[in-house]
Amino acid sequence: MEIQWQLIVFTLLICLGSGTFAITGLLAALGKGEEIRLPALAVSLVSMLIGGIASLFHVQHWERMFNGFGHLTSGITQEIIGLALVVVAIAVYFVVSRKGAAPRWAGWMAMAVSLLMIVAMAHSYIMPSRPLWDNVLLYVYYLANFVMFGGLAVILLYGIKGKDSPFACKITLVGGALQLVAAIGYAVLIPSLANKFSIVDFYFDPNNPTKEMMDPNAIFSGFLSGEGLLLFWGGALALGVVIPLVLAFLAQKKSGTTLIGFAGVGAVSALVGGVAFRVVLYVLGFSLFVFY
Amino acid sequence: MTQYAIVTDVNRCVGCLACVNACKTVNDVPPGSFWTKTIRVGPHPKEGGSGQFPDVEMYFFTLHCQHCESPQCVSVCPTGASYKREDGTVQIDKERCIGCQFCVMACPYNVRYLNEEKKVVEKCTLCEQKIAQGELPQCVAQCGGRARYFGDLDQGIDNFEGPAPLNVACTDDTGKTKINDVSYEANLHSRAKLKDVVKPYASSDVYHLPDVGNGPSVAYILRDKKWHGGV
Repeated sequence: MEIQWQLIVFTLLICLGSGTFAITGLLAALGKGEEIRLPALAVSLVSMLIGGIASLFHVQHWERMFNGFGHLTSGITQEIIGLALVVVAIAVYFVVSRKGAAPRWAGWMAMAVSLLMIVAMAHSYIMPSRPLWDNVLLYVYYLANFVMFGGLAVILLYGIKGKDSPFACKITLVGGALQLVAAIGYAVLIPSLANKFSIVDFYFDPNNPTKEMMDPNAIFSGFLSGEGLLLFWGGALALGVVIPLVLAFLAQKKSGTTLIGFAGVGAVSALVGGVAFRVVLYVLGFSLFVFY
Repeated sequence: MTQYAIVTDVNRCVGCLACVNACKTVNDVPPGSFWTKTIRVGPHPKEGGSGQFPDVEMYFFTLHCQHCESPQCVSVCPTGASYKREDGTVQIDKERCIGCQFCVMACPYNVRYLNEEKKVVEKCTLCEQKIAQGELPQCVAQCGGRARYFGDLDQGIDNFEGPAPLNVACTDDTGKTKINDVSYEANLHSRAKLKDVVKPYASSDVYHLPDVGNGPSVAYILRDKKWHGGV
């Protein structure tokens, strides 16, 4: 299907925003993170809002959003509820921590609502109609994104404050490891997906006579060694996982400007890799009956 | 409960595309988009044959919204614009559609599209404007091979109706039995039941498109040939 850039920006920024908020909350629950609390809340809020606005551009009639909006089985409704909960939780977190360190319950609240947001977001793309999307790996991938993006953002903020943060580096490593598992999972899954599609062998569409036949078998078995060489291995895996993982590992003993460099490059690399992976989701996101 | 659907006798379909054109004309479907399509499947070698011509077979089948029993497009719609009517058809309230296109993604058959001019999603409605008045969907009414039949699945496929071929006795909408009336009006209002027109078929000759929990209602009858397209 066509690449839905607005949704790519949405899912990317929601992972960044809620991940940063969740890790800020984790630090608060452990009695840490006071130094970066305010900038982290700002990063979370701005990311969530820009992400939400990006998704509005995907909607053709946003002015009708309240025209009966709220069908609870809809992934979009669930995402909007999640987004609203995170934004409210950020506001609550800000209010209860404005005179000092955030209370621990606020930290737990931040983690809970952020996690809920990510699960709702992944869930909205789990569709039996799209074999590539309809897999538990999508939850794993977005959760890994959530932990790694949040971790990198928090490391960067510590660097800007001139401090080190081995704990945030460790969290990022956990997210990176999870991301590696998800990427390897997709590397195994993609070539095996061809048999999930309807195959009619030889066919012809008289309504679209110059369109070549779809061959899911060739598309999926050849993707990782052809079109996906750069996109998947170079983008989603190398940029999205390996580089941020290595940089987060090396950043454990760094602080100040060096830490900013490591975390900054790691974050940009992870975001570009995240975009590449999401492009793969659309490039290979065929419906199971591909002949229409 | 009613579940309106279309059954196509694939052995009778000649691939004339009359259904495609009729649908586009009646429903104002934009250029490049379709509410129904005709696909040629094959030619494929016949099972047990030489693998060479003339031991080959092919068929045409029509593809459109399957008016599913549990439509995923309805579940994912945030505003309830996609909904299932009491007659079993899946419809779109275009005044409520926000054009988020999640229904397009959720459809296993890819039969929904965004109307770029109106910025809403469209698909086959089973000609709800016509069936509400007791008429047939236009693709059924104008089927060149008398292959398509419309009816309620709960009444059984045998009772589905289409325009009567000229050599089949039929009743018009006044209940009068007629035969060999070649006038356009008579033809338009004639009705014949599927069981009175098509060749006998077994229940194993009735196929549906792949089902991933959505329960497609539209059915295809194909005898003596291998059905392709299951998962």
